[in-house]
Amino acid sequence: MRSTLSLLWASLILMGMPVSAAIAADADFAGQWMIRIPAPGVVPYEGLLEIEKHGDEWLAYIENGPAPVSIDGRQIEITLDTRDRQGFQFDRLLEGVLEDGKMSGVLHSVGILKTAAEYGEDGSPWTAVRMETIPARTSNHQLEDFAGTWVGIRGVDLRKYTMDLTPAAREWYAGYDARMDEPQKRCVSPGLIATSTWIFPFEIISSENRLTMLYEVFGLLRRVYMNQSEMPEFYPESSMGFSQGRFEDGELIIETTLLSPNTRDFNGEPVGENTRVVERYFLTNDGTRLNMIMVQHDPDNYLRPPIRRRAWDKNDDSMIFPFECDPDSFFRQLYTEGRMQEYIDRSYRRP
Amino acid sequence: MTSLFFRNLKLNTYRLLIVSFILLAGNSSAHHSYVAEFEADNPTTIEGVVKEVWFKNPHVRYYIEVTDEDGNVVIWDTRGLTPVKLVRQGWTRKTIKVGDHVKVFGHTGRTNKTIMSILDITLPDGRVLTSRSVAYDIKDVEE
Repeated sequence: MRSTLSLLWASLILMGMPVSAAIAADADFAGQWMIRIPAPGVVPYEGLLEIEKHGDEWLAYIENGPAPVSIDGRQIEITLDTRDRQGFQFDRLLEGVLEDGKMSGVLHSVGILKTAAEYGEDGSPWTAVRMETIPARTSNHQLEDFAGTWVGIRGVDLRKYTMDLTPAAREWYAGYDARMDEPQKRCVSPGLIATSTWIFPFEIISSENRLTMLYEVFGLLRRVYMNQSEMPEFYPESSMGFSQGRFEDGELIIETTLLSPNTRDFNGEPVGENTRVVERYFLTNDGTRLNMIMVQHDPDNYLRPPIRRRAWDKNDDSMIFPFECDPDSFFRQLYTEGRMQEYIDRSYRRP
Repeated sequence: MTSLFFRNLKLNTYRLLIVSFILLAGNSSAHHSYVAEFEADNPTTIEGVVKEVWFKNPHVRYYIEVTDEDGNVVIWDTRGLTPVKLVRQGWTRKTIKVGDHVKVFGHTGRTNKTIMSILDITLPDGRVLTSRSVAYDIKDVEE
């Protein structure tokens, strides 16, 4: 027993980590944190970071997607895979240190293109505070305050690229071919999750027992029933689903089901038919900025529910433009590339 | 000194793992998203005459006749952002016309070498339009 303890001590010393520091580090890093990255030119990025220790292994998740992590004493490095606005992938490496119960450090963009809009964010500071230290939101707003035209602003969402897929979803995803399967390429609705998290403007119209949301992208329309306690059996499934809303403590909460299968973003990870999406909308005190946190509960496809965020500024002078879509150019390209038959053969991928 | 050496060794090992992860992720995801269709590296410039304007959703397209180094005439299929984003910058259906001589800078296709995702277009009068999904002010563009 004594020799085992001595060996443990020796190992820890050799690893460069005093025993007291190792124990403290375990206790300090585990838990839920809120990351904040004030990158230039955007509203600061925010996201949920969860750190767990399983045996000797540290695991981290950002917005409920896996994020490789290394912890050494009070130093931490987390890799967040993401995409630029154009769709090319890159990694955000968060290097930092834990001090006084908070993490802080510097962001490094790894593999980012010089032509990416996000190129200038390399070197930005980042912080993370424990979720339980964040004061609860308070609001005196009424439901009518959410009505108006809302214009998407840059930032907020970290665009975590990969999520924690189930084995079945992983198999489905492995066969995804964005060139032919991406819905919006052929003018098919990208679905609730993509529609609500892309930057296009939308309008909320408030009427008795109902909100109507008019999205610019693909001219999509959505009704949120505020007085419907149960989902009607006859309601058809669709890309925007069936939405029930409620208003609690100044926040609008919407639960959506009956979603037709789709993809949740550019990389093609699935939205399953049993998905339940929960959106929380809340306003800043002055009522000019609308924030949204969206959670995709889809246990058929995800081991942890993906989280997305978005913010819009109120601008009732802004117009929602028409968005008629013509798939002609998509099919023309398939034809000129000789892939039309392959596209038809892949129809099973487009339920 | 010893502990610092081991700490640096561990961090370097971790960085090596991260680089490996990125490289593997890059390869495994080559059939996903934007990288499925376009080369990320080395954006290039083509120059030619606009043969067709397709100013529609989901993405605008300009079919451009380009004469290559061997004298062959090739039609390039170039595409930009969605029209609702471009018109807010003053870039409308009439901004680029059939017959215009333009330079197009962008990402070329991964397998189809005559497609391009537009980053910038230089107009005949030298003005540069951007299709990069950033808030460039190009409201001085005239129709």
